[in-house]
Amino acid sequence: MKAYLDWIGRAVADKLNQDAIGKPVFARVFLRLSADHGTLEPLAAAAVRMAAEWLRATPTKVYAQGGARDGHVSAMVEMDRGQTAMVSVEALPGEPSAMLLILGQRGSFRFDDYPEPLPPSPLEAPAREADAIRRSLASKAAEVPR
Amino acid sequence: MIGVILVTGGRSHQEGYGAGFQADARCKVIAVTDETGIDERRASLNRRLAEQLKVPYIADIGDALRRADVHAASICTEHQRQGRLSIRCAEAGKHLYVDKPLAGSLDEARRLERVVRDNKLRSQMFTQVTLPPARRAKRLLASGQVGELRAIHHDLLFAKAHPADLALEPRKESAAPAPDRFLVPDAKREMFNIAVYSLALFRWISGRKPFRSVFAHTANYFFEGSRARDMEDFGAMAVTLDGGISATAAAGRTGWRSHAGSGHHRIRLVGTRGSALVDAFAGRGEITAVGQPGWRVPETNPDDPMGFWASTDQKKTGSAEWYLPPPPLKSDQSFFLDCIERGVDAEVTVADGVRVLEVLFAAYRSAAEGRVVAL
Repeated sequence: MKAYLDWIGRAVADKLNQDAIGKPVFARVFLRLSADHGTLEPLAAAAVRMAAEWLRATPTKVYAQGGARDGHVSAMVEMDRGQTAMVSVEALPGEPSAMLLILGQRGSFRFDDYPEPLPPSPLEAPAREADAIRRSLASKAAEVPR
Repeated sequence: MIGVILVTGGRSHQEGYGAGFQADARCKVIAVTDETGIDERRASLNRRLAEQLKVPYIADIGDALRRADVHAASICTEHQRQGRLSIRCAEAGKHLYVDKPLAGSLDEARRLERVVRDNKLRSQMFTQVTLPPARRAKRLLASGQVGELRAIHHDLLFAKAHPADLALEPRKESAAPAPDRFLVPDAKREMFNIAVYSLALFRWISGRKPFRSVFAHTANYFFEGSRARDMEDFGAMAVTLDGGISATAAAGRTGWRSHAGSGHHRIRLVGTRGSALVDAFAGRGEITAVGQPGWRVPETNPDDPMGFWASTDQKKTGSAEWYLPPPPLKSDQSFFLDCIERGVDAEVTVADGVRVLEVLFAAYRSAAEGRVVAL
């Protein structure tokens, strides 16, 4: 899974750096990569970090919903220059999929991918994002990454 | 025959509503009308729609409401007049077909809800739940394919108007938008005007589960006019509904070039058994060929620079063809006429519209204060 995330992160960043859609302002990310509920939070944190990199921004506020019991984690993220990311990670059976929509000021970038089932691999969650998601799920409030 | 009056005319969605009512054989559009004291521009646009539909224009709505052959009113005014005029029509005992969002103030919307209930009227707020993507999403859910609903995500982004390379900065939102500041000719409060569809969808698809909280964020990403007038062109929100259902919505006007059709429109359902994506533009045909110059967008129309209204006829053209899905088998207006005819409630009533409006106003408070607002 880590290799797939590394690839998608790089591939999308490369495309956005070609400046086809202008400055990216919004990212919607749907990931269904594993049915293992234990991957939900780390994967959501990794997706938040990835979206922030695509938006060339730093998260300033995270509001997370769902949780392992619900089979999904969704995070709405405000960035330092006002950009927005909405990340939804699902732990559900079925074919893996990754669906992205990134809006730029001059157009949009859409990427739908249906990867082969990914072998389980340890996923190191980015600490700031993982902590903010965890705190938001526990508090039901929007949390500032620290 | 159900007699309908159209309250206000051109450069509003009444252009489409009026045509929808006229196309239904069970209905007769009696007149276009409005309250007295409106400005000359509005009066002229009202007269123009009456001429287009070949119906009279009644300058005083009081005269129109006194007519016995008027059974229903289609109300589509500026937001600050919408509540007042809807109440007036409801007090006259007319069934209501109302534009979205219901009103520019919650007090008026709640008063309207009471009058509609007390007078036992049928009411419907215009939404997109009668369009094919929403119907498909609801069928998917009913089929049990995704299991019990846990989350729903909705992107509704209108690909219109010419964007600019604005400098990015966080938007400062106001907790209570002024009632007369939702719509001007070159800008709209886009979260108010577009996320209303998402919220109505969430309520409808969940079986009218109450909203419990909202976290929202507004932004000025695309248009100089919207930023200059302090109206957001983009809004995002995360809401919770009873039963722990999560829902998120991205709503905005994102520029002609952001989509070859009318804009990204997707519904993602997440259930206990699986998830599904409904893409409003999944059914389409494209031609790619040698010598294509690429598709073109219309020049700016000074009368309607943001492409708000159908009558300004701003369409994308070019050789990369984008076949849009066929129109729905039945118009939203015909759904409303069904309700009057059968004496049943609409799928999205005025009461539903009030619940949606409560979330919208709470969303502005959330965006202004940067916190989750309980409902």
